[in-house]
Amino acid sequence: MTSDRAGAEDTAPLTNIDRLIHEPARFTIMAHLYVVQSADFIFIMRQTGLTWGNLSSHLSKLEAAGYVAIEKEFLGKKPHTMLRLTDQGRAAFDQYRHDMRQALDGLPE
Amino acid sequence: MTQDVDLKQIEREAWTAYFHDGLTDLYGGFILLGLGLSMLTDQTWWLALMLVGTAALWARKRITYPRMGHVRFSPQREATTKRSRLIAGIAVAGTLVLGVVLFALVWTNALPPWLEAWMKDYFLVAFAVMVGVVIALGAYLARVARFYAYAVLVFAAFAVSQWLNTDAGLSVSVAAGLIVLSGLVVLVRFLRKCPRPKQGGPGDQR
Repeated sequence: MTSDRAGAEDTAPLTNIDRLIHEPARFTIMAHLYVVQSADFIFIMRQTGLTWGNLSSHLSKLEAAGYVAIEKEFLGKKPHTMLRLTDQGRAAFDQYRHDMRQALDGLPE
Repeated sequence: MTQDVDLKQIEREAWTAYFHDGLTDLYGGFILLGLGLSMLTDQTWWLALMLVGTAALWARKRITYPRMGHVRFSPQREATTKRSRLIAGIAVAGTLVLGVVLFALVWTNALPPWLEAWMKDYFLVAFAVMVGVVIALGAYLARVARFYAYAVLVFAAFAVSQWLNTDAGLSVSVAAGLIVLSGLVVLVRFLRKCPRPKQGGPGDQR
């Protein structure tokens, strides 16, 4: 029983990991949006190497979770769609990095 | 994919993304080519090639942005960019002013004799160092490795001309031609790697 509790405590940092961000493609999208203020769909597609459909699908999930905001704006006279991490998304990404670091640091060499 | 992704590296890659189109290379290359050919032929109309260089940079709006997309960097990065541009502007202006002042001093015999003799003997080397340093500074600010090669190439063009006592216009034109060629190769690779997204594709939903 005690060893079960100890085991549960050991894996606690792992169970706290945000699974939405943990998916590699979504993690890459979040990381690329984290380092800029905003970027459009094409820029993120080029930087991440994801296909259009794949990126679109992952962005929809991140948008639904409130991590990514999709905003229409004008570049000159043309309407343009920019993507940016919301404050919630930025905080979630910071937390994810913290949790991952904690989980991985706890592992023996 | 590793989870210990280097965010600084990602930001650096995003920052240098627009230099992968070769247009900056063409801009600098054509400006230098105009300068070199006008020196070589004593025909100032070659300087019109500088307009071609400027057009290449202007073409970024039509060539690069539709293929590469748009990005807005963080306010900190924007501030760094402004500072970098200011430093680059000061370096270019400083080099120009220094060049003009040195030329005027040599022209009016206002320099001490030993310095005047040195300047006459090594004017091109001094100029090569100044231009090379400005291009290397640009490479450092842009974080693009091949720009360092251009700095070395341009320095070598002037320096070789000085040491071999050949026409500087020729070596500068050759160096500029190589930069233009490199820019064209980078541009073609960019166009192949990043085709323009088709109209009516799934991206139109976004």
